[in-house]
Amino acid sequence: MKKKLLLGKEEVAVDILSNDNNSIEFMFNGNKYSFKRDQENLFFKGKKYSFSSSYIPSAETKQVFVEELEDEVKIIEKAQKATGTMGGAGSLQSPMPGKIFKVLKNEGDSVEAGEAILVLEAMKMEHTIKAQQDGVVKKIHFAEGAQVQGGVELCEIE
Amino acid sequence: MKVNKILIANRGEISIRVAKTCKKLGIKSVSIYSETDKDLPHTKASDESFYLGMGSLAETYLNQDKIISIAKECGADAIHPGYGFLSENSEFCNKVTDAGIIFVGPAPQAMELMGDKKTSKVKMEEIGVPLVPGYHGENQDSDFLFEEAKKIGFPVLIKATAGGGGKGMRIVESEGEFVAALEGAKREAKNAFGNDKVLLEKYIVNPRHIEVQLVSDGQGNHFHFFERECSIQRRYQKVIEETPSVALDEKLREEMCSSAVSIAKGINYLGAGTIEFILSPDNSFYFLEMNTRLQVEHPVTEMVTGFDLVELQIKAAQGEAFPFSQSDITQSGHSIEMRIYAEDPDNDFLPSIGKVARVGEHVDGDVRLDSGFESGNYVSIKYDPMLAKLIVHAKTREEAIDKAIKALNSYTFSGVKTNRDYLRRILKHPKFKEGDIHTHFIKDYEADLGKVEKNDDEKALLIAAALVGELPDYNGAWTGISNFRNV
Repeated sequence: MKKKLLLGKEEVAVDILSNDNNSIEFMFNGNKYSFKRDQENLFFKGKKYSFSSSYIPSAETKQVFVEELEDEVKIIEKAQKATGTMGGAGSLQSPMPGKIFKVLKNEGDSVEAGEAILVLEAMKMEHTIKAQQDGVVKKIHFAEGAQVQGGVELCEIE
Repeated sequence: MKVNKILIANRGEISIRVAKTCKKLGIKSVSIYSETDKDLPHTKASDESFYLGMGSLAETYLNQDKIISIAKECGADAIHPGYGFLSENSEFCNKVTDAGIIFVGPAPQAMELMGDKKTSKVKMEEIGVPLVPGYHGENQDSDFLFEEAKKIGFPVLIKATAGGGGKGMRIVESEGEFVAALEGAKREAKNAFGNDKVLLEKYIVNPRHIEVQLVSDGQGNHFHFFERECSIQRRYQKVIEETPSVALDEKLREEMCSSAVSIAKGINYLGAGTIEFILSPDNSFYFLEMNTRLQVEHPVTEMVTGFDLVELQIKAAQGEAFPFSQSDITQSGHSIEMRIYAEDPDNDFLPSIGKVARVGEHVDGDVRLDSGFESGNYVSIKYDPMLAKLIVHAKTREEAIDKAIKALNSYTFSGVKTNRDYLRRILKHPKFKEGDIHTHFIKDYEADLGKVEKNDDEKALLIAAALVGELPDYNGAWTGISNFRNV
């Protein structure tokens, strides 16, 4: 069973050979990996690793912890579907809920990649929303002072 | 003046912290909460809890009149302000006292004196506490300023008085560079602020942040509880604190602590306070400011001295004399505090919000977790992103660092992104291990503290942890939470 995953920001492919509650075996980067599992421990190459994981529904992601390691794992098909509904390449989204603190550009302004367009205030901190490409600001959806949810489109760049 | 009931005018971990000591002393405690905070554990840690309603901070935790009326309504005879919020607000302190309620903290006069940069510096000069050498006067003649710079000693910092953001600022390494740097700074200041007035200050290379904990009892006796080193900071926010500081030998420790006590005496202080110093690598130290309240990082002091600082605050507020002398206060072992924030260090420290699926499990007696959150709580954008303080105590600094790294593993705060891994990177950094730290540590070693690339085995472990036991044909609709207890 081949699967594509996002491990953090990296796309990885695995081929699962077997998987049940007590063990898992898969191919990854040309090597075969076998793990035994006993409750909250994984056994690998003669060593014991305690692990835990939790699912974050809003991000459709599993957060995993193995001793000192931690990262997020996401099934990639889902990931693609999720971003597909969130606007095109020129749209900028709020990374989290907050208040529009400053609008630095006007509709019709030319911007370069990396230039600041909006400043979002959340948790007593300011976050600058920057253009990811050169272009013209087509539409800014919010005015200064507006409250916004996380993941909503803030502006469009053409 | 025995206190019977304390209203804690704060939220989260510090509210719980104060309630614990109240319980120990047989004092009833009262907490307050906003709409956002109604499920947080601080509402359950006290004997009573009062709802502040919806609204902004000004309408809730900063609403002085409302808090005082709640205190009257429930019969509280004292108010503990915690840290932040109203803790250094002399107007609140006055209002509380006028209402016939004891304010657990210093007198408003001391708060005002030390809260103002100008008046506090004048007072420090009077007491004889060293200030960063400098010239802050009106005379802007360049020959005169050059003479002042020589008196201060190089390197010297030239700063525009109207300044900010590094404009009109120059670090001058030696006499020969002074005149040109002064002209440059003045030109820049004129352009940026329309005012070319500058001030001079000694530039301290690689300074450390060392602070001394003070508590003055209710009878005019002043005690220090040794130092804390808080040099690991990011954007002036403390990240890791420890005590003792490796930078102090017995002589320097004694000098700094005595200097701090002389301040408490000089301003006739009451209760807990902290003197912050800048320590130069040549062992000269300078007064920075005084915090007239309990500090976030007070637990490290409690770990090594064995004293309960909140208990001492309450006893001082009751007017009691402390039943011990300075020589009874000693440092034993080493303690480190790590601040766990809901933020993503590998994505520009963007705050993270969401439901804390699981805080973690307690492992060891020398590990203390002070948190305002429990499993299932929601981290909102409304308040400070600090999730918890994790404090460890061990015989030596080396052992404390090891213990700190292990303790971090047991509190995952899963569900939200945290700075845990970043804290580990700092703790494992060779310069941190050597104790070779200063306030620019995080900035100077930014590259070293970046995300560490994982090898294939490590990646495979994480993949196995995510996938083990999942149905073979599932496609992203995770069956939910696996390997999970106590939820």
